Amino acid sequence: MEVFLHNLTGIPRVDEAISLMKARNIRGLTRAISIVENYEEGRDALLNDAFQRASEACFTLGFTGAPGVGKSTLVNAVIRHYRRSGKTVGVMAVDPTSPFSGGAVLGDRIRMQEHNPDNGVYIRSLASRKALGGLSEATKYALYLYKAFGFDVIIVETLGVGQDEIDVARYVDVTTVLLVPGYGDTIQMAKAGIMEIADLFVINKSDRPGADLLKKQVQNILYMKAEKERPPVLNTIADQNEGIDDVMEAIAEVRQRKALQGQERHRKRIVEEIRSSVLTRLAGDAEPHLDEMAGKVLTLSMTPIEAAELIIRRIQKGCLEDDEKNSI
Amino acid sequence: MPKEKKIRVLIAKVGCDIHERGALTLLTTFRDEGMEAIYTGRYQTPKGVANAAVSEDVDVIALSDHTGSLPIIAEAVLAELKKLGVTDMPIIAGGLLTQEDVKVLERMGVTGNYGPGTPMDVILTHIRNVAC
Ligand SMILES: Nc1nc2c(ncn2[C@@H]2O[C@H](COP(=O)(O)OP(=O)(O)OP(=O)(O)O)[C@@H](O)[C@H]2O)c(=O)[nH]1
Ligand SMILES: [Mg+2]
Repeated sequence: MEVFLHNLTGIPRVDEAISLMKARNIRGLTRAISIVENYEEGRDALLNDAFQRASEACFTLGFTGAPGVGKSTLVNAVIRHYRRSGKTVGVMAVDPTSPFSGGAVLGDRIRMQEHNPDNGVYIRSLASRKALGGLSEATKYALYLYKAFGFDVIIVETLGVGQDEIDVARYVDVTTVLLVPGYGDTIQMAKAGIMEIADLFVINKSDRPGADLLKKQVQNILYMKAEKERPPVLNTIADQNEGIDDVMEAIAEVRQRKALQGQERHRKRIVEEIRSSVLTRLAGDAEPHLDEMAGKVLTLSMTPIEAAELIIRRIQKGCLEDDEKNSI
Repeated sequence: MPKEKKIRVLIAKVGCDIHERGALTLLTTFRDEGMEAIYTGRYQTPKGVANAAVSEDVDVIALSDHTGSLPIIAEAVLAELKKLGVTDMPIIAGGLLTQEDVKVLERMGVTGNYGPGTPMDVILTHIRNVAC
C-alpha cells in the first residue's frame, strides 16, 4: 500500500487534517503532528478522533540507548527488514532540544536516508522540547496519530538518558535497549533503571573489542530474572547489517510472549496516558501564577510549599467557577 | 498551554556534491537560534528531498550545493513537491552561484540565493521572513 497520495492544495486545517488522515494522505498526518506539537487550535478534537480510530493492530517498537550507540543505524536496518515483506513503517525519531536556545539539530534522518524516496516509509524527526520527566508530550500523542493512520509497524527512537527510556517502554509493545562496548559499566545501567524496561538487549558495534565481555556482564545481571522472562542479549554490527535477522527473530518472540499479558499492559498504558495528560494540563494551569509566587517566596512572605498550595487552590477555584457557569 | 511554534528548516543536498561544511555550519547555527534543523545528508534525489520536506512539515527548504547545479536542483525539487500537491513551500538556496543562476532561481520563486561569505545574520533574517 502506498502511504503517499497526491493532489492537494493549500495547508489543511484541523478538519482537513482529520479527513486527509482518513484518506491515508500523508499530508494529513504530517500536519496533525505539527498541530499537536505547536498546541494549535483544535488539538484536542484531533487527538480525540485519533484515539477513537487508533488501531491496536499496529506493532509498536521502541529503540533506546545512550547518544551515538547506533540507534538510528539499527532502526534503518529494521525498516529495511519490514519493507522487504511489504509492511508500511512509521518512524518517530526524537532528538534532544538544546536547553540553551530551545532549538535542535534533528540528525536521525541522515542514517535512514535510503528510505527517503520510499512511499511506504514515513519518518518524522521530533525535538524533545519540554518533556515533563520523560518522553516528550508530542511523542506520546504522535503515537496515537500514527496508530490512527494505521502503519503496520511503528518505530520510536529515543535518546536513553534517565527517565526517557523508562517512559518509552510504557508506550510501545517491545523495547530494545542498545549498548556498546567500552561505554561505562553495567552498574550504571542498573542505576538508570534500564535493566527493568528492556525486553531485549542489543550490543551494537560488536566489531569493537569488549563486545563478548559486555554480553556476559549483561547476561549475569539478567540471571536473576525467571528464565521465561529473561531478555535476549544479541550482538550486532548495525552499519554492516550484521545480526539484524537475529534481532528481528528475537523481537517476534518477545512480542508473542508479551501478547499474553496484553490486556494488563494496555490498561497500564491507558492509566499512564491519563496521568500524563492531567499533569500536562495542571502544569499549564500553574504556569501563569509562577512568577508572582516566586516574588512572594523571594520576599519571604511565603515558603515554596505554601506558594504551591495557593496555586492549587486558585486552580481549583477556577474549575468551580467553570462548573457553575456550565450548570446555569 | 502556550503556542510553541518553532521554525523548522530542512537542509538538503541533491546530487554528487561532497562539500558538507556549509550544511553542517547552518545546522548548528539554526539550532543556536532556536530553530529545529533537519539534515537530509548528502547525495539525495529530488524526490527524496520533497518527501522529507513534506514528512517533516518544515517551514523552509534550504538547498546547499557547490557544483554549480542549483538551478537544476531547485527545478527538480519544485517539480517533485508539486507532485505531492505542495506549491507553497519556500525554498532558499546557497553555495556556488553565478549571477545568471540567481536570476533563473528567482524566476522559479527560489529566494535568498546566497553565495559564499554571506553573513549569517542575512540568512537568518531571510529565513524568519519566509517562514511565516
Ligand atoms: N563501528 C561501528 N560503528 C557503528 C555501528 N553502528 C553504527 N555505527 C556508527 O555510529 C555512529 C552513530 O550512529 P547513529 O545510528 O547515528 O547513533 P544514534 O544512537 O542514533 O545516535 P543519536 O541519535 O545521536 O544518539 C555513526 O557514525 C554510525 O555509522 C557498528 O555496528 N559499528
Ligand atoms: Mg539517532
